[in-house]
Amino acid sequence: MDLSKETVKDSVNLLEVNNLNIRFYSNGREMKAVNGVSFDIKKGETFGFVGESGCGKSTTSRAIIRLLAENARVPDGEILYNGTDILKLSQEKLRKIRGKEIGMIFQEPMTALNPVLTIKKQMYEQFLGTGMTAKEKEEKAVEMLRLVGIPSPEKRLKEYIHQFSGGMRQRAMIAITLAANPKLLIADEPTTALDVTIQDQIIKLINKIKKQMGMSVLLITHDLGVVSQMCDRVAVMYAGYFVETADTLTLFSKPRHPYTKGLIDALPSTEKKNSSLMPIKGTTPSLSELPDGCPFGPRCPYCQEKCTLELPEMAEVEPGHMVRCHFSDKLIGASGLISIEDGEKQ
Amino acid sequence: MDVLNYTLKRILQMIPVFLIVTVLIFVLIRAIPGDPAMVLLGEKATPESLAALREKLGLNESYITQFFLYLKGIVTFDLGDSIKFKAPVSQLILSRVGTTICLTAMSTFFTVIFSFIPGYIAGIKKDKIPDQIVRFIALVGLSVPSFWIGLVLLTAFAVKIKIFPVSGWGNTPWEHFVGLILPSITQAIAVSAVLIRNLRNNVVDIKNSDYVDYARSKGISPLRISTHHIIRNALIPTTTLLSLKLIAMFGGSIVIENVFNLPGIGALLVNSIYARDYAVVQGIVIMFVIVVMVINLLTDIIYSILDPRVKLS
Amino acid sequence: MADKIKKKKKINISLLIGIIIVSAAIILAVCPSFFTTFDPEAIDSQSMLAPPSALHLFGTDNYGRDIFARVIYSARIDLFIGVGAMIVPFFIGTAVGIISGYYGGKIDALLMRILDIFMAFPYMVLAIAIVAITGAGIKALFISMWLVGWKEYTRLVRSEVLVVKNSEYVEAAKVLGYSDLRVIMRSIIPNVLSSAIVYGASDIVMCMMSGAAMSYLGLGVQAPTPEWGAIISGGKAFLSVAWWITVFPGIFLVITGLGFSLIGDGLSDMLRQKGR
Repeated sequence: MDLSKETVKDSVNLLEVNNLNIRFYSNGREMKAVNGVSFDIKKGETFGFVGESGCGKSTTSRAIIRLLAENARVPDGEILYNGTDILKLSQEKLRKIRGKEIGMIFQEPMTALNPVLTIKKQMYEQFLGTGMTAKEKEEKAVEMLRLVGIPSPEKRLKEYIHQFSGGMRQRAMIAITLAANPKLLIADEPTTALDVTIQDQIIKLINKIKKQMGMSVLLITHDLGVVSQMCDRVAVMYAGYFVETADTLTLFSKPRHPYTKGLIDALPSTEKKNSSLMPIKGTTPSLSELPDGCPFGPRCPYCQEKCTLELPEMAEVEPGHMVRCHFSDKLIGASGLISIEDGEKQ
Repeated sequence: MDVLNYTLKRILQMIPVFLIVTVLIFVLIRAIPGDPAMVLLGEKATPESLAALREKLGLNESYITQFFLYLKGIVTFDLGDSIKFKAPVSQLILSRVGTTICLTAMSTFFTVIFSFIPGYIAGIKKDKIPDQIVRFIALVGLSVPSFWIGLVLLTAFAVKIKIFPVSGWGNTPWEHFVGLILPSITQAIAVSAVLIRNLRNNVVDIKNSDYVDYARSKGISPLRISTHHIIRNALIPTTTLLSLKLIAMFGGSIVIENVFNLPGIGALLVNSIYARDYAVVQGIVIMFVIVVMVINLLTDIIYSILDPRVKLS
Repeated sequence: MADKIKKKKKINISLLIGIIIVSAAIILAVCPSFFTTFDPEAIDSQSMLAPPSALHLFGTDNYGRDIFARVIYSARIDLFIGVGAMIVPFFIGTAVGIISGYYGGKIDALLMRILDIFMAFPYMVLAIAIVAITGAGIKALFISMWLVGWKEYTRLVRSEVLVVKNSEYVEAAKVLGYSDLRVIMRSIIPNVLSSAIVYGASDIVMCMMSGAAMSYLGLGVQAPTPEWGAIISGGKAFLSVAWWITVFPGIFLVITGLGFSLIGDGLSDMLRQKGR
């Protein structure tokens, strides 16, 4: 794993999210999709959300540009972009942020791009209201396709998304999103639908363009491997809660939450050849019937009585490393517990 | 070039189906009890005219020869003579077909108005009050027979309030136009229910689609999202369905022209059945079969033009 | 839990109203004499074209026949046409669809060509052509509707069979060496029948409408038998003086049709719910 990323420190927050809560209502039932989430993204930084599907990572990212479903409510929280609260913006002002300031790429370009409009038409939508001439638009569009590594861009511009191959589709969507020069790119599982080799190319591409354009990136993924290749800092989400945030190196080397540990242990590893993968037992709780105490309690191997009664708060265990666990200090060497099991097996 | 090749290919494929259909009609006409010449000429025919027709149809020849004579008639557009009108069937059809085409064209216009707007609104306002209302109306619309709605409209807007003619379509183009308004609205009501439901469901699917979310994430105006992403995409299947519904409208003219006494093909067909004027019936049925095939072909071409994912093959 | 209960309630509204309407129509069809003392075919020269009144609820026609009685007595024949014209194509079309989809190959190709030929006729035109041959009447009506009705079931069922055929449980049944008949009866039919039934509910409406339309044109049910389409047809000449002859049977036709449409919608909602 490549953990040599330099952490960006002490720079300005581009995005700051404070105590964000999101609820879904369907058929008179309330689902607590996101609970008290706080984080910030600095200029030029890549921040990652990692967690199982349904943990609220996509919902949180969509809330940032207010793309939530009709039955979603945000009862509480603020989302500050360069100091202005996005949740309080008028529709008109929101539109100025969408695309131009915060751009988004989706998991499946095949469904995220309009199947009956050419790439060119969808790219040109980014230039609406910029006063660019037809020639400038054409040049910029070609430049963008070239930037993401699509060969013969003049020709491909006139094609439809179904005429592209898997990897090229994702490149095309990245090109369209970045054509508006966003300062923050939200990438929702950008590599999940791709083959491993193409996945690697896309990761490198995003990393390269990020540096070139000086963007920040919010990466949503369930794949810790992708996190290690892209992120400066990571938040681990479980059942709508942040359970641990840290810089990538710390998270991988000194995880303090049992869930994070579980995720890391579930990774296939080249170092521990003989050890079997350690899946996390049980399933995620229903968002409408969260347990009273720690949401991870029912699946946690170290669960105590206190955990079933009282929801732990996010607590800073060392600078920049927050954990939501009553017993986080006891878990410092907890890799010990696992490694004892490993030892027994070997 | 692509479309042209495809059209040629499809026409080639149609030929066998058309041949079998003509065989069927040939057999069916001969399945009518009695002497085909008698059937075609009616019971009051004189022995001389019967003998003449037998000769002309080659009824004294073998069935194979008869069939080829009949096929030659179709290809050369010589469909025999009407006993009632004492005129060639082809000429009769040509003189009436204009009315039916005008009726179908105007019906299509009203259908677009009646179905596209409510269907879109219902889809956008899914499960809200406008949707409930439109869905209920569409459901009732499925159960309303066109001939009855036609008569109710006639009673209301021609008999009670005298805006429209009770019967016929006058002599001048303007009178034709006015005379076709109620019949077209009637046809449109009969067809719209299905289209409304189709469009509504398309809009519901598309407005929650990823690509509409993506378009929103780009900061595009809501109006442009509606026109370029939702409406445009939702109309593709609906337009295709509308094109297929032209067949239903053409067939529906049989009933509508009867209700409004319009001198079209449909009325001619029904009157010819009453009059046992089988040469005319046969000619019109063949014409309808050709119309269906042409509309089916056009529908496929339109679909491929509207949706770049669909390849003609 | 609360969620499930609410959803169930929602389905029942469509289905419930549909069932109530159709049941009411069936009651009219079974014992019309319970609702009116008039004979629907009795001619009364004393009260011709009488407007609706306490005695003649829906007025009378040009023969002085009570429209209310005629409308009530029509329920039997119209329901009979709707159901009778639907049921035969339902079985034939479904069977053809299953055979075509399950066996595929040459059988499928042949059956699909036959389908193409039937598709080449617009509904009314084929029906009318058949009536032209057999002569007008209820027998002709049924034959023509049976001949035109089956193809939609075939298309629907065939496409479903093609999906089910490749499912794992059908593969498994085949591997176990079960006979085709057993596979079709146990695995295919239960999975494809529901969509045919949903279509059937809306097909009844279409059959009733076209039956009425044929009778309206004088090609279906013949006078003096009371039938909604035929009554409407009889009223056409008297639109300006006796609107009631036309309007009332049409309302009954629409409401009965709506009942079946509601059942169809309710069933398809239920099916979608089940599929989730």
